[in-house]
Parts: sequence; C-alpha cells; structure tokens
Amino acid sequence: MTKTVDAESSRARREDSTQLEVSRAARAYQREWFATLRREVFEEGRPYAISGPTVPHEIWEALDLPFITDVWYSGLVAAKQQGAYYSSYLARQGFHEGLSRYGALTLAVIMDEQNPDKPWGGLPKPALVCSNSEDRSAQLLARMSGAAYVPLETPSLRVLHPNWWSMSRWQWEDLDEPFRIDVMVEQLKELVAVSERIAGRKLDYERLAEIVDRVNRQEEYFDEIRTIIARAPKLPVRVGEVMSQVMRIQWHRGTEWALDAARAFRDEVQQRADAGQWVCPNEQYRLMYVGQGLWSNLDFFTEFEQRYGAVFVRSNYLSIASDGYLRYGNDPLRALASRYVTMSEQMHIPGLGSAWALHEAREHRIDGGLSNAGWWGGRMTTVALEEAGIPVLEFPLDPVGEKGLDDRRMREMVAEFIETRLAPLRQGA
Amino acid sequence: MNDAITGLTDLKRAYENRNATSLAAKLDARTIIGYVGAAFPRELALAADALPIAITPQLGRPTPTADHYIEPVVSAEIRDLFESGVVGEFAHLDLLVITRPYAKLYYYLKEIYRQGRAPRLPPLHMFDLMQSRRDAVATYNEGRMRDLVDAIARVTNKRPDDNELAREIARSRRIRGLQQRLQDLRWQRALTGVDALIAFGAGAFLDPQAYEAALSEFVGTLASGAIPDRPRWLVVTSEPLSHSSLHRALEQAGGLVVAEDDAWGSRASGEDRPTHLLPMQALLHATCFDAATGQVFPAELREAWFESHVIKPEVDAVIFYIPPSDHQVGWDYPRLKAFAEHAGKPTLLIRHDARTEHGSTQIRAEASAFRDACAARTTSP
Repeated sequence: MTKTVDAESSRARREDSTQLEVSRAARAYQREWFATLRREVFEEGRPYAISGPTVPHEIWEALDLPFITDVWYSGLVAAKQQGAYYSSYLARQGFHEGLSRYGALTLAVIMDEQNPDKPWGGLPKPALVCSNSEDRSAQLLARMSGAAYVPLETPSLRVLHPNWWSMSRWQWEDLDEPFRIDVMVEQLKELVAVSERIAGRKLDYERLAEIVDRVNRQEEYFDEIRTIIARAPKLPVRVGEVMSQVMRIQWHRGTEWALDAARAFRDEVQQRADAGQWVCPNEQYRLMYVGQGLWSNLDFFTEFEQRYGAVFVRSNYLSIASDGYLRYGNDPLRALASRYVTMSEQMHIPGLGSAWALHEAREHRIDGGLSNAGWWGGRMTTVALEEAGIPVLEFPLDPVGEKGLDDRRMREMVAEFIETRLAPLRQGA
Repeated sequence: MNDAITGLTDLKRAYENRNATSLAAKLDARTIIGYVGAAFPRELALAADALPIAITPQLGRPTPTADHYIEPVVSAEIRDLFESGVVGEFAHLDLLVITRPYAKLYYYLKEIYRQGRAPRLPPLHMFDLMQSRRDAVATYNEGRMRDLVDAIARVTNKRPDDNELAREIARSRRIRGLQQRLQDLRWQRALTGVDALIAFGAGAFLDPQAYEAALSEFVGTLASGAIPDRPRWLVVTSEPLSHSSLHRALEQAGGLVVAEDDAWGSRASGEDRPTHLLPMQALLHATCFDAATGQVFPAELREAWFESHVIKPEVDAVIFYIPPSDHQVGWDYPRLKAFAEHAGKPTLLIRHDARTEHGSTQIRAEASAFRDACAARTTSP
C-alpha cells in the first residue's frame, strides 16, 4: 500500500522535525478524540455534524454535538498524502478538476465506500451539515447523507474599514454594522433550532457564554504567541508546526483541553524565545506566507533554512486566530454572529486583506512573501506589498491536493526568488 | 427572413451595440442606471424615471489592468468589468448597481477607486439580495430593497409611489407575455437559438417601450416550423450567457437550441409578479426567487425550471455548458445529468470556453460528434 508507506514516512519525518512537546501531546489527543468520535458515532449511532470552517462550532460544543470541519479534515487527508487519491476519486465521479478540493476531500472520503485505508479511519454519514450557502459540495454531502442542511449566507460588506483588526475585538458593532449582524443572528437561531433537534436538548445560553469566553482566552494566547514570534530576534518555532498546532487547537476551541493546550503552546514558544532556541541560528531572510496552508507539504517551509538562512515566520492561520476570532461582549450569539459575518473574507477582500498583510509584514519584519495565486484577492495583496518594497513570489498551489507545481519546481522558484529579489535588496541595504 | 421588416434588426443593433441606448439617453439628460447581474428589479429604476441598462463584459479583449490587480482564478467576466470600470467605460452611468453574485467586482472596484486609480467610476451600490427562501433572511432583504430605493432616489431625485411601480410592473408583464410567446415559438422551431438569445437579451439594453415594439414586431413575423428539422437541445449553463457564441457554435454543428436555463434566454421573462402583494413586495419576491442565478436556495427552487423543461417532448438532448470558469455547477452536474438521462435525454458536457476562437472550434467538433451519435442511436434497430 503506497499510501500507507507514504503516510508512515511522512509521520516519521514529522516526528523528527517536531520542535514542541505540545505538538506531540496534541497529536495524541487528536487521535484519541477521533477514536472516541468513531466509537460514539459508528458504534453507538450518536449523531454528528460536518461544517465549513466559518461556522460557530461553539453552538455544537455547548450542545455536546460532535462535529468535524470539512477543510480541516481535508487537511488531515492531505497530510496523510491521500489528497491526490481522493481528488482523482472525485474526478472519476464526474466532478471536474476545476472545483475546489479544499473542503471536498471530506465528501470524497464519505463517498468512497470501497477504500479501507481512510485517514483516521474515515467518517460516517453526518446528521447535520452547515456551510456557507455557496458551498455546493456541502449541499451535496447533506443530500447524499440524508442530513439536515443549514446554509449561512454572509451579507456583503458595504463599508470597508482597512484597519478592521483594530476594531474587531471591542468595536465590532461599528465594524460589522448592526443590520449585517442581525441577519447572521437570525441564521444562527435557525442553526440552533436544527442543532437542538438533532442533539435532543435545548441550548444553554449560559454555557454558550462560558464557551465563547473560553475561546476568547484561547485566542488571547495565540495573540501572545504571534507577538513573541514577531518580536523575538529570530524565529523560535517553525511556521508549519505553528499552523498545525493552531488548527488542532482551533478544532477543539471552547473546551478546557484547547485552553490548556493554547496556554502550554504559548509557554513553550516563550521558553524557546527566552532561551534563544532559534529555528535557524543563521537567520538571514524572514518570509511570510499568504493564502491557504500547504497542508500536503508542510516541510516545504523548512527547506530554505540551511542554504539561504530563510525562514517562514508568518502565516494567516495564527494571525487570524486573534484578529478574526476575538469578540468581547455580553451577548454570545451576537458576538458569534459578528465573528462570522466576515470571517475569512477579511483576508481576501481587496483593501482589507492587503492592509492586514502589510501591517503583519511590518510587525514581523518581513523581507519577502510567498503568495498562493489561487487565493482570491491575493493579487491586490501582492501589489500592496510590492509597492511597499516587499517582494512577493506568487505561485499556483493546491492546499490539499496534487494540482499545481511539483516540489522540485516550487523549490527552484523560491531559490530563484531569494537570489534575484531578496538578496540584492539585502546587499543594497 | 428579412431582418429589416421583422424588428430583429433593432433587436440585433441593441444587442451588438450595448451602449448605444444609454449614450443616446445621456444626450437627452436622462438618468442612466447600470446594473450587473440578473437579480435587479428594473421596474424600480423605470418608475423613478431612470433608464436601467445591463452592464456586460466585452469578452475576449485584453485586460491589462485587471491582470495586474486580479488573480487568474477570478472569472474573465469580472476581470473585464473591472477593466471597463478602471478605464472609464462606465463614466456615462449615474449609478452602477452590482448584485450579490458579483460582490467581488464591487470590492475590487471600491478598492481601486479608494486608491485614486479609477477616478471616472460612477457611484457604486451593492444590491445584496439573498436569494434564499428562508425567514431568517427576509428582514435583511427588505432592508436591501429599501437601500436600493434610496440609492436610486439619490440620483433621480424621485421616490416612486405604488401607482408608478404598478405602471411599470404592468408594462413588464406585457413584455413578459411577448417573451413567453417567443419561447413558445422556439418549441415549434420558429427561430434559431441565436436569434432567440438576441431577441431576449436586447431587452436589457433598450428602453422598454422600444423593446416592446421591436419584440412585438419580430414575434408577429415568426411562423412555426420555419427551421428545418434538427435535433433540439436544451442548454444548462454555469455562467450567464450574455453572448451568443455558444449557441452559434452549437447551431453550426447542426443542433437547434430551443431553450436555456438562463436569465439571458428562456428565463428572461420569469414568472409574472405576484398580484396579491403590494408592488414593492411583489418586486422583492420576484427578484429573490425568480431571477435565474446560481444563488437561489434551496436547490429544488433553483432546479425547478430544469426539471420541468428537460422532460418536455420538444427537448431531444441536453447540453451542459460548464466552462473552466465554473466553481459551483460542477458539483450538481452528475446529478442533473442523471436526471436528464433518466428522462431519456442524452447529454453532452462542454468544458471549453465558447468565447474564444479555439473554444468555439472545439465545441463545434464535439457537438457535431454528439449529434451524429444521437442520430445513430435513434436509427439503429
């Protein structure tokens, strides 16, 4: 089984390159969590939900309704080196290759009833699917599973605040506008009603408030980690590991485990920075990554350390955890509505994504950027960074599959970028 | 058929020279409201004494400015419209309304304007109607309708009353009657799909009075059976057919396009506005649920037209046009294909871009082969 061998060697590489104890602990917790989910859902028939990433899982956490996030599960599929297999499986079912596989690998795993070698043992059919209303693959998943489907339609922005991250924690009524938040609240009420029916219990709003508060505290730890990384003289922890760790904890956000894991994560990064444990002692170039995670090849981010002293210090995943998720206030449902009224879009929307990337680049002392050309709004970000004197390399990438460039060509492009765009700037300086 | 005496000449002229009406109206100091997307209530603009004109891309031309600011994954349609906005091609508009499926265009234009790089852009209004039949979004949609009225009133200095709205709804009902008659004649082989698309689409670029007269004249000259016997095809498309390139290629391959699941064709007319509602509510209802866009929810509502028409005996086969720009319909394609085939209708999937020379050539070849294969199947014992 080639896939199994690939997965084994990938696992071994990951163990070798792991820098943080919390990563090992989180991986173990994730395995245990999946085993419990499988037992409860497969064997005991407990209903569960699948959703897109921009859905308030806190509601399900408060209802004790298990859930899976499609793009994060797709990330696991990719990390197990099965992205290409499931991508071509979807193509064989008639879904053309231009359709996004980012979340749809979850659909593929459920559709493919023959393959016994499924990541984390595969998934049973969900009882509830919730996604952005434009996500047709999620609607298909609900249809073929016989699951309830709740769409979330996010209102378009009318007023664009370029410095949105400075308003999002406390001033979100102004940032997101009351009428836009109102329509999200109404839709969340719909989601609550359907979820209550499936979970067989009523939502306890006090418990929801506790969970939202716990999530805020978790995101505050992530905010601290970002600050440590940005301000340390050199990079204390690799971006690939940070991305994995952030997403594992985000998956379980709202739980005591997630809060403890975020605290331990913060402590360990702080210790490394205090002790001067740098990823690359000969650090020369600090790079940022803009776009969806390169989940099938997180090692890519480490490959330029030895030869060029180039490190990736920043990705969207850690930064959006604090700038996108944190919402303070007394009404948990309204705070969640505000969070999801623009969640993720603020990284894309021209003017918003570019202002944020530029701010982040300055905070992290960035020399150059890599941008996923398949990221809508990315070109405006590239233009903004370039005009500010920060060179950017754009390349086509599939975050979970095998489409786009091969590893060798990607490495060549980055090497050429460092040599021809970044090095002359350094020499000039 | 002699165009000069059929009204088709006027329709073709408007279809091919899409700015002609609005530029002429501008000389008469009339307020021009451009709109992008099908989910726009034209009656609202007309009742405020403005002229609504659809804004469509000029496909196939270079877009150097868009290429600099917009990534390749964004559709050619949005890239071209952005280019038009930046170079000043919308400068004659008093207001540009952008509908929800084109929100990205709104954001790109708003940002480029903020940067001072598109000074000739007219005022923009995002008409963010959610086309889903859910109580949760009803209040939001009512608010967006009020916002649209306000935006139009700002440029026309007029807020139409119920009588004025009712007048325009009545006029649109007459036009819809003509369009429905046109569609009936298509089932009877009275005209080509290309001419039908032009006759439907011209309405988006003409003053309604002129359109009604030209369409009435054209429909009056049509006779059933005028087109020789050819296989009749229904087109399902993943992108708006604001051009006739696809139909031209399909008909050059020997087919006759008798219907298309698209607001630029068979679904231009839509249903009559509900009569039991007040005019504003009737417009809101029709725009939400009847405008043929990919955003209609639930899927049963979005696909109702397809399911009721694909089974018609006048449809011999179904053409799925899903060019490379598609990011959504491809998820529905296997299911829709199965539905059509279950109804005994062969299907052809086209993935080439009809707006390019190469794509049209490929489409002609594939459609010809499909036509031959269907014919062989029909004649084989």
